[in-house]
Amino acid sequence: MEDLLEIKDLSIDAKIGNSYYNIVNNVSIKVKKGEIVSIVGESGSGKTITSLSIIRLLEKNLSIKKGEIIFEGKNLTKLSEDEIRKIRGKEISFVFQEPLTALNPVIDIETQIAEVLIKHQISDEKKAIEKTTKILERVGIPTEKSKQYPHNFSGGQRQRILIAMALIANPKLIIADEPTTALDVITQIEILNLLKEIKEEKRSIILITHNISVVANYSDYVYVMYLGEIMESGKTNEIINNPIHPYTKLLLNSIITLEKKERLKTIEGQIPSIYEIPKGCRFITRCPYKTDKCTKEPPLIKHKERYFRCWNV
Amino acid sequence: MLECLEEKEIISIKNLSVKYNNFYALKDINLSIKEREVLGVCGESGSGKTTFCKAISGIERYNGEIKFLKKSKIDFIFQDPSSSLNPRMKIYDIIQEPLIVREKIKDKKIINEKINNAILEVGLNSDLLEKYPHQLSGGQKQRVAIARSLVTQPDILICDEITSSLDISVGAQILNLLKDIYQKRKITIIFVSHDISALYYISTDIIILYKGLILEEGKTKDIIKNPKHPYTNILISSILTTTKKENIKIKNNTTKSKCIFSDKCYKYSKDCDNYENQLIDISNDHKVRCIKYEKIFN
Repeated sequence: MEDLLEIKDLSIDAKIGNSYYNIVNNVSIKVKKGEIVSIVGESGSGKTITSLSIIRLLEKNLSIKKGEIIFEGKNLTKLSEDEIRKIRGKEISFVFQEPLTALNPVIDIETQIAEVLIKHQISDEKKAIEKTTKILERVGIPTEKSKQYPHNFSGGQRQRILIAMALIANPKLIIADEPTTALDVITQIEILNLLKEIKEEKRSIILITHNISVVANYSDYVYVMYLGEIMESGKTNEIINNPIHPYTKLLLNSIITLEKKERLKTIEGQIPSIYEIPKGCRFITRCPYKTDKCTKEPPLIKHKERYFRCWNV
Repeated sequence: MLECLEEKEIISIKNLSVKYNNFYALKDINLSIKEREVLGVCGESGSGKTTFCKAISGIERYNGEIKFLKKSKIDFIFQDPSSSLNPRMKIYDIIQEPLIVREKIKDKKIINEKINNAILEVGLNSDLLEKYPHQLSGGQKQRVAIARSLVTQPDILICDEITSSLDISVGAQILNLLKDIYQKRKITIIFVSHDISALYYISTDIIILYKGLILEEGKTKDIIKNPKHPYTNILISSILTTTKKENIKIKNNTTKSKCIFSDKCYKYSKDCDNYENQLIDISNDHKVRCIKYEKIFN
């Protein structure tokens, strides 16, 4: 399959006061057509920042220091604001994490969804409304509710509305940032199954999540991120069944299963802030397997189709 | 999984209902909570979990009866520690507040000692006492909220989705901590979560709430190993594990049944239309609201 998106050696800095802090470091990600690629890691790992940089929605104090983001041959980092606006929502769409804040509370949902088609001049108003009705049906929102406002809907329904909005212009790539975190089990399954259906239409999805069991069940390829770096990447079943990096191993261990356990396994400590990024391997402060070597930056090792960043494998 | 061996009842709930206008947030809850029980309350948003907790702690009007059979101190830990800790107070003052307001302790030495013990018990370093909430991570904040509850020595601790805003590995740390607290302090815990795997780890008994009704109740091991309601079965099989499974199908039935789950139920058939939706007693302490409880598996 051909690549739809390729992020090459992306680094992003945050300017705080007069100093610059590195928050994403040398990240490379490939997304093929018709594939769900997930980025997994704890909060503070840089997943959201990396994905926002694709459609250039970074906050003003964040800037791309180096690297390229190639989408269908175009380097998105070099496009003008007008050019990127034509891609955003049309070619690449984004499902935001918080469905309540991502929707405009004073506009009915039909108008909000149809707006995408009208602004991108894909359809006239009448056609846009027709298409909106269809897409709402598709994501399981009763069409008689299309004139209602976001507060009339439950959390799961709002998430579906956001997905409808992300789908309506037929984008090639959909970035879904923790689309199920705020949802109940049943709704979570319904939304994830919907994403899977979308993928089967040969569209690509970047799924951002901290839940590695969602990754295991729904994605084709995984990037495990920690403190702004990719620790390990590979095909989902290989990463899940045979994790190489200590961080991936610990993440997999911390899933609660229905086995009798006296204590749950956890990852000791917490992710450092950007002010205290350790020298050498970024996982050094929490790694149970660390050795003297780890104070030096570990190389990116390629083994068959997998990549990982660790001295001790 | 824990087991509660105590027989002594601490809370007796009879015909508890909470109604907002014409909508029942909770309906006909009958329950007996024992001393040292960890009652897991499982349900989706809108199922009445939080209303249940609020009614028990006396901050929600209700119909029916909630009787405490022993003079008990109740404390509440909330879902989102960022909003339950005052951002303008230092951690020390946050933990101190219930000691002054509720316990009316004036002796500075006793207060200091209690705060230091609580902060150690939840696994935090006492350096944090001089910090503000925004300087702490989510897991640390939740530990502070737990410490604030522990200083007053509660008999009953209500935990409302306390791990759901945290990363999985941090949530697991909090669950471990709560288990330690339970084993050390011999308290009663009401643990609310939409995640049935967390309940499996921490609870002795479980009730499954759906749209304000109890669909199933029983001992944790019975509910998890031998679920009787299709909804419980969906909850259990939807625990995403790293082994790939068939995707679970959620139905969309049009039904006339009084069963409130019939519209989504994979077991729905015409027989369900005659069902009066009553809770059926199956075996010791195991109750279910489904007439097909004997054959919920395919």
